[in-house]
Formats: sequence, structure tokens, C-alpha cells
Amino acid sequence: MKNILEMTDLSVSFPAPKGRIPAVRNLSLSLAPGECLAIVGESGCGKSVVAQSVMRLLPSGTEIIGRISYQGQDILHLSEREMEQIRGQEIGMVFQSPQRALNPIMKIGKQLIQPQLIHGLCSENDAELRAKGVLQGLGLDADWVMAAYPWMCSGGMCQRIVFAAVSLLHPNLVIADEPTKGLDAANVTDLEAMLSTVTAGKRTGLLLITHDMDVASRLSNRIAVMYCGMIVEEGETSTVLSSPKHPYTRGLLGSLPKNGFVPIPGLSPALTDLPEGCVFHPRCRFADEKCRTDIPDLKDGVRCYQC
Amino acid sequence: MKFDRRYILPGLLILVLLIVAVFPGVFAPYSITDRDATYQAPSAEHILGTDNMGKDIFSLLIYGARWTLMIGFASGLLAVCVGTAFGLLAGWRKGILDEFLMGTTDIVLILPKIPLVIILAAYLGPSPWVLILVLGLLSWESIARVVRSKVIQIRSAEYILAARCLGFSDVRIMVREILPVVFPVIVPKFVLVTAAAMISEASLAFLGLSDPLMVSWGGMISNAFTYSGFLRGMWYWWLPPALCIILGVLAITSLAFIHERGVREVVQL
Repeated sequence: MKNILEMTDLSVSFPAPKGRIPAVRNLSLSLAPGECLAIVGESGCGKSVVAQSVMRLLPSGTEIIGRISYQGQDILHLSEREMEQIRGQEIGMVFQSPQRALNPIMKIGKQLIQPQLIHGLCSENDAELRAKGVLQGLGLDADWVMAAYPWMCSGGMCQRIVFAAVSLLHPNLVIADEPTKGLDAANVTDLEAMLSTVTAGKRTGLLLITHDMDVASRLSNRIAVMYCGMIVEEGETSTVLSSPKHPYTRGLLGSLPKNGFVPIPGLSPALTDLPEGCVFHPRCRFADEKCRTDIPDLKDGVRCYQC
Repeated sequence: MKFDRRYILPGLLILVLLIVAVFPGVFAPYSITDRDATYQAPSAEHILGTDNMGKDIFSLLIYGARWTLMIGFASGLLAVCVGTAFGLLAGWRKGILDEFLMGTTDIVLILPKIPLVIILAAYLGPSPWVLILVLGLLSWESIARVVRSKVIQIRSAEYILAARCLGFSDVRIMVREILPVVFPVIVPKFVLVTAAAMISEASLAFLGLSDPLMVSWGGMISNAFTYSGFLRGMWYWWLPPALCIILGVLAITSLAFIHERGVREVVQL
């Protein structure tokens, strides 16, 4: 099946007083309809930058090299007006802080109706009915929520409202950027149930960006592990999680409480001062001389000389 | 939200002035073209006497509210429109446009206002519209600065990013998402500029730089000064318009200060 999203040799760097900061390096990923791809990794590894590159939301001065192809068209070369058509209606995004993702001084009803009108999906009356229908489907009191302000709703309710705003536009690709961050266990379960409906119709793809390995394991078909802006391991979720190859993936899984809570020694290097060779070699107990000088290629889903 | 009682007195005062300004014919006993004997003292017929032309001073006072308030509010509105547009664009776009717009703002900021207004009013001719244009276009810079800093603060908020992800255009985000948040900052600025414009109008009229056919409170004081109202001790000629200006400006600035204090109290809570 033709992929919805393809990123080829994507590199993203930000301007800095001394040179540029490489946030993402030579990233290649693809996503098929009905598939969920999880990008996992620790904070600051460049996961969210990938999401924002796809949405073309990075600040001016950011250098994006490579190709991001959505439904066959290179979105890096689209005008801002063309991107406005794609954002929301084609590619939707769920944010990590649902309460902050809603306008605090606008009624929720208006926030759900407006995007539908902007994309010309229906009339105002129909937009209201559709919004109420989706809210009811998510287990909310639609009439109350439509007349409420975001600060009147709990975090879990806001997460459902944000999800409703995205799903009302029926996008072909949904990007969920750390959607479970700050939510309690019950709300995480609810959110997982909502996100699993995204790919249920086999039409929409889900790009899940998270550092929660449990959520990634439950939702995704494939998983890509990022470290310092590079993909170090990629493959079927069940395979990667059951038999991780890269030392970083093994360390990441080993640091989970259920796996013994063993931290990876050392700290991630600053993006302004990345080591030569494999970026993980200063923290890797298997590293040899070659790891210190040459950057390994991604072969058979793993970027490591020792695997 | 609980209504703040401190708004009542200045609000009522502004309301009365506005009603008088909109419907002067209802309250004025005479038209501004009606004449009687000149330099009359207050009487039952003419509550505040008559001026050098024999016009009823009380009627002039009522008709004067129209232009004084009109010039004040129109200048304030113009300044708010220009300042908000500059601030929104500069804060949202940033980069070269921001530098250009803020550079322009800085230039307007350092211009000596009153001398420039005097020169422009003298050069362009005495018309109330010129006055509105000049006062409005020289008072927007602080609004632009405040709006810009507020926009910079808001533009990185997650709900703005979320709005962009839903396909909202830049213009829509600026007008529908950012402007309502910036609005409470603009309101006190608007009333302060309005008050300042009323004072400037009075000053220019006193200096004889306003339209002589236009009846305004500043013009009445100027006439009293020019046509020996002060020498004759006709306090009822110049004192009422002066009091009206003071009360009008005080009421408007009070509204701004009460609003600002209210916002500060909410923030402190």
C-alpha cells in the first residue's frame, strides 16, 4: 500500500551564535495508512522536531534538508497557503498539554466549530451538530462542554476535546506529540482507546511521539528509537521491544521500573557538542575504536557496529 | 464576574457627556447661530450669560462637547487601530518586518509631539479632521510597543500552535486568537490617548490653531481669552468649559486606572 508519509534523509538544524545545532540527522521513515509508527527516545532527542517538521511549524531560520513526502507531494516545497489546507484537514496534531492547547478565553463549542468552517466541511449548524455528536461519542456532556471554557474542564476532558477537534476534520495522518504526558493512569487508558480508533479504519496513519515505552508498545505497529537526533533502531514494535539490538534501546528498556530500573550510565551529549563517530559511544560499554571515529549506517533496522 | 462599583461614577459622567454630545439640540436652549445682546451676565434667560457675539454660553458649552469628545475618541480610535496593527504584525511576523515597524515606532516615539502638532495644524489648516488625523497618528507608538510585547508572549503559547495545526491562517490567528487576549491591554491605552487628545485639542484651540467655526471647549476658553472675557471677570465664560475638560479627562483616565487596577488585582490573585 502506498505510504501516507515518507521522510527521506531528513536533517533539521537550528541557528545558534556559533554555527548550527543539528536537532535531527539523516532521518528516513515511512508510514502506511492504518499503521501506527512510534518515535521514542529521551527528552531532547529530536522527536518533536520531526513532528513540527512535518507540520512545517519550525521557527524561521531553521534549516530543513531532505524530503518529507505526504501522499506523494513534497510538503517542504509547498507555500504557506497550501500548508494551511493540509494542516488540520489532511494532517492533524494532538498536543501534550491538552488544557494549554485550547484557547482559554474562547468557548469550546466555537473552538470545535471554527476549524470545520475554515476547511469548508459543512454549514455552521451542521458543524455544531457534528461537534456535539463527536463529544457525545467520547462520553462527554456535549451541551455543557460546548458552552464551557477550557479552564472549566479537567485534563482528561480537555484531552478528549482536543482529540475531538482533530478527528472532526477527518485527517489522513494524525501526529500525537507526547499525548500522555501529565495524564493519570485512567486518562492514559482513555487516550489510548481514542488513539487506537484513529488507525481502526485502515485509512488514517498515526505518528506517535512519546517517551512512554508502554504506550508505544500498546499502540504502535512499528517503532523508531531516536538518540541525539538520529534513529538508532527501527522495526516491528514487538520485535524491537522483545529483542532490542542497539545498546541504547537495551538501556532504555532496562531503565524501565518493570525491567529493573537500571539507568544508562552518563548523560546525553549536548547537541552543540556531539561526539565524533557513533553518538552513543561515550555511554556504550561495547564501543570500540571504530565506534569512536565512524558514524554507523542504519543496517537491518539498527545503527551499530557491535550489533 | 462581579461588577466593580468604582466604574459607576466616571462611567456615568462619560455617559452624560456622550449623550449631551450626540443630542445637543435636546439640551441646549438656543442654537449656536442664535444671537442676543453681547457680554450678558448669567440670568434666567441665559444661564451662563452671552459671549462677545451675543451667543448663549450654556448652549455653546453643550455644542462644544460634540467636537471635544469627537476629536478625543476619534484620535484615540485611530491611534489604537494603527498601534494595534503595527504591534500585531511586528510581534507575529518578527524578523525584518518587526525591525522596520519598531524602527518606525521609535521614530514616532522621539518626535516632539506638541510642537509638531502645532506646525502640522498650522500648515494643514484648521480643520477638526486634520486635528484628529494629526493627534491620532502621533499617539499610537506606545500602543504598538505594548501590543507587540504581548503578542510575542502569546505567539509561542501552545493553543496558538494548535490553531496553526488546525489550518488557521496567520490573519485569522492574529484577529481571532491573539487580539481578544491583547484587548484588555488596549482598552486603558485607548482611554489614555483619548484623554490626551482632548487636552491637546483644548491647547491647540487656545493657541488659535483650531477651526474658528468649530465650537469646542478649548475654543470657548480661547475666545474668552481673546475677547476680554478674563479682563471683564466673566468666569462663567471660561470656567465651565475648563471644568468640563477637567471632568471629562478625569473620568476617562479614572476608567483606565480602575480597569488597570482590576486587571492587576486579578493577576495578584
